[in-house]
Amino acid sequence: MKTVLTAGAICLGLIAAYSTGILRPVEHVISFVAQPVFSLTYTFIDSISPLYQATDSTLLKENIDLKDQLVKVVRQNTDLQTQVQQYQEYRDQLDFAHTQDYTVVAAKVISRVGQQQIGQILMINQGSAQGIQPGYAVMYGSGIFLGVISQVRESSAEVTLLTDDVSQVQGMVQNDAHTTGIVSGQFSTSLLMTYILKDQPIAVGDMVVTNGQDQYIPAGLVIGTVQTVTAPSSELFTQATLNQLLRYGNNSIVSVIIPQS
Amino acid sequence: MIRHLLLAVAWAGCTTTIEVAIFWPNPGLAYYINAPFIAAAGLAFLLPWPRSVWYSLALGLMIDWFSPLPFGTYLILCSTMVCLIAFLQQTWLKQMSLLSVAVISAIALAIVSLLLWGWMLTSVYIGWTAFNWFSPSAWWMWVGGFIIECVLISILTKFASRSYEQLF
Repeated sequence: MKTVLTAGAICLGLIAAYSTGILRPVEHVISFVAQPVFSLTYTFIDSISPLYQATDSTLLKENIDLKDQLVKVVRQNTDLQTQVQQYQEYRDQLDFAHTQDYTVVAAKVISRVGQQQIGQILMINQGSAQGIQPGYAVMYGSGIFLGVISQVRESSAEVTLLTDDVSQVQGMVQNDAHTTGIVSGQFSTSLLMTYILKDQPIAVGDMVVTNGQDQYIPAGLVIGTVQTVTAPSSELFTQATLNQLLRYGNNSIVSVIIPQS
Repeated sequence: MIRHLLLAVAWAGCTTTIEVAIFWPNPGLAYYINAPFIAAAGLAFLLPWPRSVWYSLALGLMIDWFSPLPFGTYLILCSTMVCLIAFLQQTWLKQMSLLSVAVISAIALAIVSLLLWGWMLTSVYIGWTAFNWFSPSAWWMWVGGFIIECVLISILTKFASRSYEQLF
């Protein structure tokens, strides 16, 4: 009984010490030693895990889809060239309006917590020591929105992916009307854009980006493309499912966007 | 003492690495096998009381640092499991037959799993951490993982034998 009580007291003592931050140096040392091992084993498992391996038919379909998308993007690019000229005039005003400036911290994915059906969290090797805080946006590649920092330790952090059921971010369709809505994870596999006003246009293939209204998430990060649009007459709002432009499992290096001010 | 300490650190490090880097990223049933619980049960069977408790605390501390669950979850659960197994061994199933080990493991795992679920649901209720891991469609995987854990503990304990202490 004495041993049980002593063990219980040690547990509570450690929990209290962790909560007050006394154990930070120990945490730092353990993370420093453990992370390279996690990283190596994660990379190995990731390369052989059947969940993230694609078959020839899926790759072929993906290739066709990407080619279709490329045609659309080239067309959009021509339109954008015209618009860029107009945007130059407004840039000075926009710069003035941009009170927030962002820097980026590169991070390596050291583990994936949860799986496709029940949870979407990535563990990265940068934490509060690098200035990362909960709520910061995480992107992959050139501006593709991956998720949001949900928990931070001194030298590691957890990223809740956008496809996670608990994720929510304000999105904007890249069309003339700048249609807005709330993008949330759906069944941890896809994205659902809701609360779109019925008088606002949205079409299959439209690109959806962040609109900058969330506290730490800058505008313009790519969320995905519109896959289907449904507008039931009994509902007040239109909703759309989105297709993300990245494949999980290959995103070993990500970037955390840190607000400067 | 130093050898004990080194062994505790090595044991905790290996188990944490196995759990974080191998079990968590894997799909399906593998995700539901809780390596720290298997290690804690192994400690309870292989080491004499009360040394197993101190090892389980080291194990719980290591895994808590990398677990998405609230800090303290594995500290409490691993040491609880070791205490439960020791209690069952000393009062009820005293022999080390494969069946006895499996029964004790199953009882201890069931109680600790209930505590884990209770703790997670309490955390959700209080609002400490947002969990969305409760998937009704995957309930059988929890049961499958539970059974595999019992089998692994039994095999590990049976084949590792009690002469483990002679290493020191």
